[in-house]
Amino acid sequence: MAVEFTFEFPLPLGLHARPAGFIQEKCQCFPGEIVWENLRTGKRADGRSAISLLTTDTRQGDPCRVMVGGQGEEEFAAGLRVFLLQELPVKEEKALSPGPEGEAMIPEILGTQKEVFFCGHSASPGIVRGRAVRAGRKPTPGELVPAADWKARDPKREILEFEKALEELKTEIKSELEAKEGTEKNILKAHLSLSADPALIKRVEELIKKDELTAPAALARAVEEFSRQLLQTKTQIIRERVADLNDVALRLLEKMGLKVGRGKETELAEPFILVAEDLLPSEFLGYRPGQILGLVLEKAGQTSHTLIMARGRGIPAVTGVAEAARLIGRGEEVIVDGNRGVVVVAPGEETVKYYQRETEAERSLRQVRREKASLPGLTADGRKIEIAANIGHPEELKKARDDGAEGVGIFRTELLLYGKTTLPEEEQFLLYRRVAEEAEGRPVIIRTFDIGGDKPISSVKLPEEPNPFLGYRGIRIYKEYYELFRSQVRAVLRAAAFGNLRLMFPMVALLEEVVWLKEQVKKFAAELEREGRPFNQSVEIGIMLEIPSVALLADKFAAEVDFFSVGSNDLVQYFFAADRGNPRVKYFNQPLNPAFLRLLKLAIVNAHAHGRWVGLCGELAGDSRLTPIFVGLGFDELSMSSAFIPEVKSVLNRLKQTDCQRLVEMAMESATAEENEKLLEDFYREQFLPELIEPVLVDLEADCRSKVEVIQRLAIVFEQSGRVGNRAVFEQALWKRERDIATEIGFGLAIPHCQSATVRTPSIGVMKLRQPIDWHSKEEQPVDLIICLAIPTGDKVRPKLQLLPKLSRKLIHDEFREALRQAKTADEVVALIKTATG
Amino acid sequence: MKLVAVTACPTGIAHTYMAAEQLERVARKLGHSIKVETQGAMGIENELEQEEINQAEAVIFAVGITVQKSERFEGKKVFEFSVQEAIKNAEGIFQKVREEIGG
Repeated sequence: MAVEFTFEFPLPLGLHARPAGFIQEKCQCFPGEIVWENLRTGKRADGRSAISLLTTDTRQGDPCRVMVGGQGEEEFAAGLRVFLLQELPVKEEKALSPGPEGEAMIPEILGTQKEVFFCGHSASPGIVRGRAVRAGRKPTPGELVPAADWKARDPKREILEFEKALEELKTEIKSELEAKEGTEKNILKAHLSLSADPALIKRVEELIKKDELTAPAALARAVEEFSRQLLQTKTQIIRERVADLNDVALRLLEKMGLKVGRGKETELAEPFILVAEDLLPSEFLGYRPGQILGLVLEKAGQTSHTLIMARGRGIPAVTGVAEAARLIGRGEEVIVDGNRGVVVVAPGEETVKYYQRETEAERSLRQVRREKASLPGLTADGRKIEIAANIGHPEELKKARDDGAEGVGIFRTELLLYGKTTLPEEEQFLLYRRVAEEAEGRPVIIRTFDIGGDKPISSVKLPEEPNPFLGYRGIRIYKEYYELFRSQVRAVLRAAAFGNLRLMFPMVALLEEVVWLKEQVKKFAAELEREGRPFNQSVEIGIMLEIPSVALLADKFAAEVDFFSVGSNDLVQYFFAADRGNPRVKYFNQPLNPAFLRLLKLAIVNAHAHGRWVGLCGELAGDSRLTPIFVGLGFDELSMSSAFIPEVKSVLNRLKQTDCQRLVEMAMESATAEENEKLLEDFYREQFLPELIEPVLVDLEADCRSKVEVIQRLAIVFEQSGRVGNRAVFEQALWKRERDIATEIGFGLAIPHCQSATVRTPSIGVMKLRQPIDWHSKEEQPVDLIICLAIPTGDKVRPKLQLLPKLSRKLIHDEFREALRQAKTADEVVALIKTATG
Repeated sequence: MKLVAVTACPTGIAHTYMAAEQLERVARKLGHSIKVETQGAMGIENELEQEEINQAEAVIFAVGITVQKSERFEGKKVFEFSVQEAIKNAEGIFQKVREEIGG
């Protein structure tokens, strides 16, 4: 007697580790037997074992048969069917989307290779592989129990102590349960069942009796043994169980009188990947440069200063990874894919190879970058716009120069204070002097200490405020912390004798503030004069434009200052009254909103009218998509994380100021940011619209061994040719189409294609494989010819779009395919396709 | 046979046109008359007139999405296939249609 049902497997990534874990969990509720059979592969598995399920190689759409046998089989089978077809897809979708901040992009290979991976947000680009170290986490039970205390004198007493702790914990959890809901309640329930787990209790008592261990030591060892066993299973559910087990053990140890604090994990000798709940800038700076390979953080957010520094140093980072610090173990091998917002744990061979190819692609992109970095900061029609770097430490100057920075638009000096109790004038003088000298005549803007808001400094004890961003920060604290202010300005004036330094003040809102600041600078100069120290009399003085009042009164401020620099993050958040760190109001982060553009335009026009220049030093400056807007608005300088400089320069060199001005005039007349997104998109297409195909898109000797590799290769080539903005997005769009429809169309030909916003212009890629490969499945004819079609979204490209159907029709004809196969050079292929689409 | 057909797929840049080309090509070879309307990224092209539909012995849909303006085909014998089948096995499609309508 058994019940069975068949269904098509619904999940787009197939049956990989996470859903297998969910199915296992569901099936383990049933006392009888559950057999899973994939009718395509013919493989069978035990439904109660995630590992066994993984061996069935189940993909989306595979027909599967599930057989349920035992007490209550009918009812359970019906429930299981609903679970598989309805609940599981919802769970999967939830697991794959990391929340309101946008989606992670999951490379297909993680599904096919059944990897354990976590999704978050891409916070700093790049890919890196290394071993994990966790910061700010609880210790493991083993670390907590000193080895000296392991031997027990009286096993009976130890067992009593253990049992007492168990009872106390159970009572405690039960009372906590009453007050909790949702996820927290589920976690607590799991804890309750673990604290009554017979296997655990038996092992602990055994260790106390046989090995004569103390209760804490026995518990620590038992937990370690179970963890090791469990972690051999490659599923996320298991990882959660291990984390739970550790939590329970720590609580038991606390009951037995041990102190459990938050600590830093012992570091590895070689550079590592840092996994943490959250990482304060001071904690980040506590590591040596080069020591951190990559960052995985549980907290979301893009603009925290830790992440700004990570981007500045070229460290890949993924944020918003739920429970990362709990689920990733010390020393585990991890791949941080900062381009896609994905973290892979203990990757298999194929996945490692995939990422090696990605890294290789990044390397050749870097070569292209170096060429772009050496371009001048000029538009195609000769308008000079200085492209500068944002830095937080003198050590970043070298990278900035390598990236092509023509100066430093903002040196955020408060970062120097992290982890320090004092920073004497002399020390600052030496730092600034070093910067001035190393900049070799290029201008460096030193922004004075901006303390408060999201930048707490231990040496400056500011009162707790309900609204720190609107409170006591920036220059507002200078009267109280006068010595801090004085020593910094004096140090800058002195260092300015050795190079081209400028002074800039943060958080100015009123004209009176500028008058006061300038009086003080004059006073400090007079002091230096009296002391007979060398200094620069005529240091330019500028202010941050980050509060809307300054933008509206720019003409009056212009009479008092030499320059302005827009701090876009703060200006946007003060202008729309929406905290940039709060994901719920992230929607208001709308730099393209016409109201915001009008504000900027007004400020720039008024500043220019008084002969003052205006720069932009916020994170926005690095977004090359927005460069036409900034050129059109009339910015004189753009300062950014140096990583973005090459791309911005390359775009800048192709833009005409007059075109950009027209674009901005239109954008200021729009009603919404969304309209302007479209305007900008169209602008790009008009400006940079090349031919459908060019020789770099043709590879007649491609050495790809699998479909995964072919699609990856196409994505890389399209990105390198500049036809695709982000290869990861493009790759994902191609795979999405693969799941919708078979692109293997017979004749040994496959036509992967997609429509995606990341495609900049309709394009065709051609690839001839050295060795034919299986495309969709083994049953079909192997593929040796690949034609990739890419089109952008929107309909402005219609004239070009017409050419793709022409090519598609041609491909049906044997003669045309034969001619493509016979072609000896890329130019021949380009000519064939041009004739076919002409 | 005198036939009309509609081809359509979600992206509408590749399969739609390949299927159309294949149906036209194979029909020529087998001596059938066919007009194929494409519903792709360029919108409806080579649109079928009501008169042409009325005169056709059968209608072939080679589609992966819902056909637009399907009211034109009410009362007609419609044979639906996937676009892939039209590309890979157009001969089979014509044979099946012929058997069904007894031509």
